[in-house]
Amino acid sequence: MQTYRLIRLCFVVLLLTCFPTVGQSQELQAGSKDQGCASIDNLLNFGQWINCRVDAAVALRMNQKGMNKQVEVPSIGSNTTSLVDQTEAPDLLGLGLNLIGMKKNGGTEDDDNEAISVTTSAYALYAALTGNDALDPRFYLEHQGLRRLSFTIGQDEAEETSDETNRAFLFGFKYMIINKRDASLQSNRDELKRVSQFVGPAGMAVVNIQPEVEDYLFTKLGKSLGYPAIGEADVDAKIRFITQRLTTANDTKATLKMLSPKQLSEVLEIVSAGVDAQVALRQVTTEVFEKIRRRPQLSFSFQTKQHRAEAVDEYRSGLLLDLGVYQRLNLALNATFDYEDSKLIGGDKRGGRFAGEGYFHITDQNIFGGKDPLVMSIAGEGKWLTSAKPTYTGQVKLTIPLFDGINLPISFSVANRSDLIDESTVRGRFGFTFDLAKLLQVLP
Amino acid sequence: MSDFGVAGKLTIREFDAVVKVRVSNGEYLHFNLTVKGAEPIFSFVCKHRVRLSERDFDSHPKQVYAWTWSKGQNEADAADDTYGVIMSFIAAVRYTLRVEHRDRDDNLINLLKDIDYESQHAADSFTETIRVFTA
Repeated sequence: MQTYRLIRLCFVVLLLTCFPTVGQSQELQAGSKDQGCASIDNLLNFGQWINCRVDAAVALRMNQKGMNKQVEVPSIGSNTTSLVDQTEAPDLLGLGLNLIGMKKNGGTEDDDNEAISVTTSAYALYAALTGNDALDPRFYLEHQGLRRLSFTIGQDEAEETSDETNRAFLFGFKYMIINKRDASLQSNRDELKRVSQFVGPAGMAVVNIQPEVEDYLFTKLGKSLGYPAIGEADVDAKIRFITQRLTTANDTKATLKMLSPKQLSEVLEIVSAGVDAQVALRQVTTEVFEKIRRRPQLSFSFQTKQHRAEAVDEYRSGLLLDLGVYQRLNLALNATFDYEDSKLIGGDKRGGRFAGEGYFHITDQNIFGGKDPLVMSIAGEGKWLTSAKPTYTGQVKLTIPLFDGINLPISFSVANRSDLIDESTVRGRFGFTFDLAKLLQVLP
Repeated sequence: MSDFGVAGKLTIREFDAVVKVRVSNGEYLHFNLTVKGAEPIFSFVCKHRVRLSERDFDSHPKQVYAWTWSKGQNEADAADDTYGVIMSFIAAVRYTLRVEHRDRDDNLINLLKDIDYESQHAADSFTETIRVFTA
C-alpha cells in the first residue's frame, strides 16, 4: 500500500512539474492591479494596450466554456466526486484523481479510499495514431464522429479487504447519440457565420482607434522628444516616433507616462468613442456561444468495476442527458441499469438507478482568468436493486478552478444507507481533475 | 492577469509597430496565420474596409491561412494606413501570426510580427495591427 501511494504521489508531482507554466502564470497574476492588462504598468506593447483599453471599454464577459467535459472519475467508482455522469468527455485526454476520501460512518473514520481514472476519446487516439494535430481545424471538422466515442480506465478503492491485489479496475465507454454542441456541426457553423460578420467591423474599429491615438501622442509629445529632427520629413519622424517610442514595452510605458491626466483622459475618450463595433461583436459572440452551449447532448454509457478476487463486480449502462436550462444553469440526468455480479450463489443484485444534477456557474471566467468558472452543483441519486433496500443519496459539490485545466472538486454526500450496512452514511471527498486540452494551451 | 480580454495570452517573439513599404519597388507584405481549434474566425482589415475573412479562403476551415498585401500591385487605400488581423476565440484556441516584409523577389527584408495569441474564453478577440506607410 505504501509503495502504491508513493507511486501515486510521484505521478502527481510529475504532472505538476511537467506543467510549470501553470504555476508561473499564477505568480504573474499576483502582481496585477485591478485594471488588469489595461493598466500602463502591465502593458506588453502599444497595440496590446489599445486592445486592452478597448476590452475595458466594451466590458462584456462570457459565462463559461466547456465545463461539461467530464474529467472526474465516473460515478461507478464509489470513491468519486461525481454522483452524476455528464454526457461529454474531453476531446483529448482527461485525468480524474480523487486523492482523499473522508467517510464518516457510524463514528469510524476511513481515509484510505482513493480512485484515479483517465478518459480519452477515439478522436484523440486516432489523431495520435495517424500523427495528426487534434487541434487542426480541418481534421477537427472531418472527424466529428470520432469525438462521440470516449473511453475511461481507472482504479478504485479496494472493498471489504485491504489486499492490494483486490483493487477494483474501472473501465467504461461513452457514445454520444445526440451532440448538438459540437462546433463542427453544420447548424453550429451557421451560427458561427453570424459572429464572422461582426469580426471585420470590430477589427476596423481598432485599426482606426490605434493610429488616431498614435497621432495624438505624436502631436502632444513629439516635439518635446525631438520629433521631427531638423530637416526630417513628418512621415519619417512619425515612423521614427512609433518605432522608438511605441514599440517595446518599456518605451511605450515611458511615453504614456509622459501624458498629463487630462491628456490620458483624452486618449481614453478616443478609445471609448470607437468601440461600438467591438460591443456588437462581443454581444453576438456571447449570444451564439450561449445558444450552442445550451443545446442538448444525449449519451449511452457503459461502466464496469472489476475485482480480481471474490468481491462483487459492478456493471452500469444507460443514458445520460445534459442540457442547458437557463443562462448559467445546466441539468444532467442519468437513467441506468445496474448489475452487481456476486461470486456468492444468489448474491447478484440488479435494478434501476436514476440520478439528476443541477449545476450552476457561480462565477464568470473573468475572475479566474483562463480557468473554468467556480461551479456549485446539487445532485440526487436513487438506486433500486433487488435483494436490497432502496438507496437514496444527495450530494453538494463545489468545483474550484485552480489553474488552466486543473480543477479541485469537493463534494459532500449524504445517503440513507450504504450498500452493505443498513445505516446512514455521510462522506466528504475532494480530488483533482486535469483537462489535457486546456493544459496544453498554457504550454509554450 | 490576462494579456488581453478575459483569458488571453500573448507570446511575442517579434514585434514591429510600423513599416515603410516601397510598393513602387515591388516590396510587399506576406501574412501567415496558423490556427488551432475547431473553426477559425478572423478578418484582415484596414481603416477603410474589410479586406479578407476566413471564408474567402479555399478549403476553410484549415490550419494555415496565407495571403499577401500589395504583391505585384499597390493595394493601399492610402499612403498612411493601418492594417489589422482580428481573431475571434469563439471556436479556436490559438492563433500564430507571422508578418513578413519582402522584396519583389520574395526575399525577406524584415520579420515584422511573430506572435502567438491564445485564449480559452469564447468572447475574447484580439486585433493585431501594423501601421504601413507606402512609397
